[in-house]
Amino acid sequence: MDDLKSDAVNVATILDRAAIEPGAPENLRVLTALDWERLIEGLRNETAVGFVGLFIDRGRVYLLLRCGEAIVPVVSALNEGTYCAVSSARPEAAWYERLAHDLSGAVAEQANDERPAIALGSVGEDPAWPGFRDAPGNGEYQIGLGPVGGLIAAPYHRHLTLDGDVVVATEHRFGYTHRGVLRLIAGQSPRAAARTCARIDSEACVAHAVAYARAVEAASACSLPLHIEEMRGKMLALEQCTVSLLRLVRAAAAVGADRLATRLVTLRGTIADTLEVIFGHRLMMDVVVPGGMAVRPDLSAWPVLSDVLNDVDTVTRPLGGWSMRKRFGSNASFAGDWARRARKAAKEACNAPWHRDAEPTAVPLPDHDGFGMGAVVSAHGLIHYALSLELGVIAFVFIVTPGSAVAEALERASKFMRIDDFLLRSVLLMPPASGIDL
Amino acid sequence: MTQSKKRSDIVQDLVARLAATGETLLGRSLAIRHVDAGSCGGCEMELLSVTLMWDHLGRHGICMVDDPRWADILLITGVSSTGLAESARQCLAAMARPRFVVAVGDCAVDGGIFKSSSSVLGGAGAILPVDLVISGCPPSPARIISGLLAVLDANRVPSAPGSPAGRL
Repeated sequence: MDDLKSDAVNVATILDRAAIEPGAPENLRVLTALDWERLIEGLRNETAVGFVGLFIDRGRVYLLLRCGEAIVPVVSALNEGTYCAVSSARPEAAWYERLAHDLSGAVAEQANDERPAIALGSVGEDPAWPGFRDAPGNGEYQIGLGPVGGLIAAPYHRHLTLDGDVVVATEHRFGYTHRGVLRLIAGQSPRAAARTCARIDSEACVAHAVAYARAVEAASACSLPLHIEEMRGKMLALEQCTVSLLRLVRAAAAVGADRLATRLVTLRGTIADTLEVIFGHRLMMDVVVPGGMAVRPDLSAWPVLSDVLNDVDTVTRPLGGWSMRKRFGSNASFAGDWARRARKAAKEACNAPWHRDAEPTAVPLPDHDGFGMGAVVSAHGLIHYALSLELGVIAFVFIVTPGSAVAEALERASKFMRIDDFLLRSVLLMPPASGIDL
Repeated sequence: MTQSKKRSDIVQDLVARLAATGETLLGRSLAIRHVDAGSCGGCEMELLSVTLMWDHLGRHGICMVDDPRWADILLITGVSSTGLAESARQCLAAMARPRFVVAVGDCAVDGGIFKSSSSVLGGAGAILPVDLVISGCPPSPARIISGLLAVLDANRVPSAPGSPAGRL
């Protein structure tokens, strides 16, 4: 035990002495069960190493760690279907351990949360859930919102503990939109699976497609010409712009700024109409594929899009004004942040170079198997794919999305907020549930 | 400019048909309840455009409602996931007749690319009797509005002599 504690403090040493399995852009570090425990012990005090994600595949537990700029995959064999819980050192790993249990049955020992993540109705007498953790205190009451509610509402359940109109605690229940995405992708060819990845989360269609394509390209040792990367960058900027506008639309409607909401949604609609002409799809789905792009953009509509993107600055300007800041109250900075992001993304999209007609839009994927990872920063945060190619098909895939982390951050921030402020903040920040449920 | 003209035409068309059909059938209004049964959120983006971009729809009695008891149309988006099937059924059960179910988007039509998943029951038709499907991934706002027109036309009932139909 003493030996375990003395070694555990240095995570880098444990990773350095691990056996290596090839992977790209980082090799897999294969740990023994003892070294896995030492690593978890070391993570308790190691602030320079960040947690990214965790998943189970075919008797092994995979842990993705952020070390500086790199994301390092660490793997260890399960011990009779169990492994030492990462959440004991990193609480943010709890969601992934719960998800892994529901998808594979693997048990995280000494986990700090053992409730199901998406397997609704699987435990206890409650047909939907074994129960929430927060019990109301003296003078407090609880209400549940969702999964069906509101005019156009996201399908998750929000459990609020309130004292008057002040939020005391918030919990979210996900899993309603679980579509078995990970199992669906496994066994598909890289090209066929791209369609599924593009439909995981409508606010990150391009981000998912690019992260997935990068993971496949890393696994198959495919290098892309610079102009294709530039095209993808431009599409990511366009998506960030439209998503930012939509967030502002919802927020403006929520605070009763109907005229601003209508202007914003009209602008977003015009951008989507133009994107349909250029890429053949309003949300740019099915454009990015492993190896490049499936569609050659029709640049005849670019002057129109350029003009519309120039309007983003004008239309979002009222959000910086005094009257709007008053309406948004304590959430004004979040609304302002989306407005800045929309303007920045519109500018980036306008400035980035366009692909020339003579250049190829895709390169063939080499016939190469392996483990690969790809990441993209979407409008809501980091999207990370880890997958393995075997015999030309995807053997397994795992997707880290920012949704669960955002939901946990909202739960923490909700404490002592007024209910109206909290619901508005949720409108501004909460990503679609489909990206969380997978 | 051309586009806004088109949008305005679509709205006028919808209002005229609501006058002809909805008045006798739905009492001069069209209340829509939306249920996301397992969508990626793309169809919701376009629905948001429908409700806000053509905000004058509300002036003609066409609106989204959050209570199924007030709704004439149950608008389903997304695949029918196992976790939301019961919610959608309860929502329909709470609606008064006449009521219509409209499935919006390829996922709601037949499950789309997720139909082979064991976590998915299929399209909206797998859990509810669907009156109309609006395909597209996602369908554009104009297509959604056209679908609403179609559901009104398909359920047109002959006006009684002397009825106020067509007066809107």
